[in-house]
Amino acid sequence: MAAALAVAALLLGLVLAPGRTWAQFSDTATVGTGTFTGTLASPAALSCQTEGLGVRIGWATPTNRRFSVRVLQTNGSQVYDTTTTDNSILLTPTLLSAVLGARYTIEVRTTAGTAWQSPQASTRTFGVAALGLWLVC
Amino acid sequence: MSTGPRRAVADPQPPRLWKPVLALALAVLLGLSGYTSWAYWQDTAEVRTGSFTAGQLDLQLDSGQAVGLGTGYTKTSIAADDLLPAETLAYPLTVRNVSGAAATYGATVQRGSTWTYDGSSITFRLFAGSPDTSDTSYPRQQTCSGSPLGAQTFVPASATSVINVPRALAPGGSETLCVLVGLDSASANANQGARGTLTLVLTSTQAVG
Repeated sequence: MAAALAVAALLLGLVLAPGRTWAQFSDTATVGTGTFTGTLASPAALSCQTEGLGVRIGWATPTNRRFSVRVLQTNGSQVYDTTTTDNSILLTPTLLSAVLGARYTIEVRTTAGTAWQSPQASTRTFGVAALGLWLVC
Repeated sequence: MSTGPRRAVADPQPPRLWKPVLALALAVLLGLSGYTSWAYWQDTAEVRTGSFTAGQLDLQLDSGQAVGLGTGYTKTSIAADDLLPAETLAYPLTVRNVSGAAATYGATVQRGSTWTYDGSSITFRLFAGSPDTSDTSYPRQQTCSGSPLGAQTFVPASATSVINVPRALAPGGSETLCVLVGLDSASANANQGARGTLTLVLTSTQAVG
């Protein structure tokens, strides 16, 4: 009885769920895309104007980005670094521990993601005057 | 009237009929099976059919692209020259079954002929839906409506399926897909200025039953 049921089930299966095979037409359509590329632009030329005891360094573009800012002494040592999403930064003598006669260079790079930085930095030089109390462009 | 001694007379035997019956049967057989020949009329009627042309299971893309079997086209609008980390861009792609048979289709993606990215930068995902490209300012986070057809993947060097379950297309039916391409936020700085194209291969198969 069991054998008969098994055979019946097999036959039913063959009819309903085809062990039958037949050729099936097919087609392949391929899409090639254009190119994906991207490079971070450097900030536009830096502007400088005095503001209180310090100087405000600004740049117009790009907007809505994140920027890495470094301030270096003339000997290349870094005295300050930060990141900002603004398009300007106010530097003060206190922030830089400025001393009379010192000159500094500010470097600004655009950043994106966790690792990208614009290949080129935009730079501007400024100095310290009047007993180290003021920054001047 | 004298009566002689009676002789025993044998019962009449039944006539042996098999010989005439056999002869008659043979004659009938010969008569029927044509040993007898005679003239007869005949006719031949010939039917010619129209031609039988095999159909094609043709999967076409967008507006009349990739027409014919095994064809492809370059959709240059799926591209970006200013893609930055953490951005995703969405693009439409229409798939059309122009044959008279129901079909299913799947898709694979792989790097195109141009590729200088590392393996952990450009991401790809396919949706059954339409692109929302309203976000145009950095960081662009464009999206696709509808449901994803597979997991997001970094674009691989060799073909990898991006549709988990084959999609059904009725004869003459079409479906709008949304291609979502992104640049991972953790992409290494060395990928700046890298270039890459993608190859998406859609394969349709005649539905069974």
